[in-house]
Amino acid sequence: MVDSGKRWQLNDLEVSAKVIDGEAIIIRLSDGVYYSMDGAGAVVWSLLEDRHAPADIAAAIAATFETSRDQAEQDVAQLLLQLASERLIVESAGDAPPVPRPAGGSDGRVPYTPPALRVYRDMKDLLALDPPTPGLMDIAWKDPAGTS
Amino acid sequence: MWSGDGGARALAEGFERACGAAIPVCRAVRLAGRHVSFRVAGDLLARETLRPFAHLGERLPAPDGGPPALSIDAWDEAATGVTCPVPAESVAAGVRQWASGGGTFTASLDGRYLGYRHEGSASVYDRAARRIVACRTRGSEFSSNARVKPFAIHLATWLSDEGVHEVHAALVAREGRGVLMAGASGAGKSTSAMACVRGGLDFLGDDIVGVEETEGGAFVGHSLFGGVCLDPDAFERLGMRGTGAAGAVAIGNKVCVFPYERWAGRVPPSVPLAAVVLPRLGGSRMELRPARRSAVLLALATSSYAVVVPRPGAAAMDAIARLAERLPGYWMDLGSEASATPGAIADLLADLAGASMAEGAAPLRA
Repeated sequence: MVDSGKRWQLNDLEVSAKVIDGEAIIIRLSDGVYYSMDGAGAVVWSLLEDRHAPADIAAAIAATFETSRDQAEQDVAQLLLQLASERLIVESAGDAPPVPRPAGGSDGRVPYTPPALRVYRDMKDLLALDPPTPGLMDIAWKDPAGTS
Repeated sequence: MWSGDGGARALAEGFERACGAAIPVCRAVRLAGRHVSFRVAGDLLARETLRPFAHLGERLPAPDGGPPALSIDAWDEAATGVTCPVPAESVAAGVRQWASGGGTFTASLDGRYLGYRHEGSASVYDRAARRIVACRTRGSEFSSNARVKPFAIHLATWLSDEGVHEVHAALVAREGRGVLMAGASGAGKSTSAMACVRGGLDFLGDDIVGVEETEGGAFVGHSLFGGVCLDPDAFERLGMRGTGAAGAVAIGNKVCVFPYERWAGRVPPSVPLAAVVLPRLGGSRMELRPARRSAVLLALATSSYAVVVPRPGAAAMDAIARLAERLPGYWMDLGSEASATPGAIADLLADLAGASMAEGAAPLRA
């Protein structure tokens, strides 16, 4: 179910994100749509940050939560497709090795809720009322003196 | 010619001619801890332009003897007779432009020259030279931004280049420790900030402030513009005169005052940040409750993205995320008594200081 041959990475050019208090907060800087995921979704995002392959992510989910490997693979695959369609992740061009995951604790698995991406388009709608304003990413400048 | 080196040169040449016609008013301030020099030819323009920065010092010449981190030069066509070359609507091929704040923002392809024209004014920020040059046409009205947040779009870019990020928040302080008040427009930031300064706390900003991460991972909050803008009835709720008060400026449906002019000793330029509170209307009484760090991040990041221009980039968002991660955050239900705000903020800061001394978890006395 998970295309283990395909690797994904965060779309760093367009996305700013942070996993904090077990919740992933993600903002697409190009238009202000923002997202949140908690539980398994936040774990998936953390593993994507560390460049783990989909199969490894599903395995980590099955090891962390009370769900089967098959179910985890199915849910992770679905979430990755949604993240890609929102331009939050892109196919990875490089083959940099993933950041090793710390060894799991001994707390046992926790109840599972399939990862869900909550999407907030209110800010995009608000900004759309006005002509698009410039963003710092639109006016990038390389200081020859190296101070910027 | 606009927003390229030609535009910058035309404005720079105009400024030199203007200085020959009227002796410029010179001021040096410390903005975000950096030396910024102003030269403004034309007394009225100087008064309006320098007023929002008056709390940041008025020493002359450079306070530390070094070259300024930013120079801001401006002239008034009416006072100098030197034409302000506000360009026609068309821009040179290849220059990018956006509508922003009722004006037009332009950028050269390499991002070095940024231009802004708005009704009767024009300006260019040369990022390499660290210089803003601006002018105002004869008879034009001062825009609301010009009176409360002059050069806002250029200052935001300069600050970003300096590693200081603008956020949409109010900032108050007590005994040298600051509390950011974050949230969407209408959440009660400005009213809370005004209540705090009236109640004896220090004031650094009501809408847009700068935040800077130190090498040690702490955060400093910088005052940028010294005004507070409120609905007239908000002043009444605080027991203050708004419309008609000495020094008050009516801008749109708001009234703006400059706390420095009344409480000169209580408007510091910068403070270390100790906490973030998220004001929200409602509740039967003033109450502070711990907020999840993700709630702080979401509030601060999204409202800053919606309000700050140019919109924050990845570096600013990353800094906001670290700030939300490291500083304690609290919801602040405002209740019906705005006068309770300064006491609640003072108690919070006292508790945090006590907890810090004990190196334990931060308790909360709400």
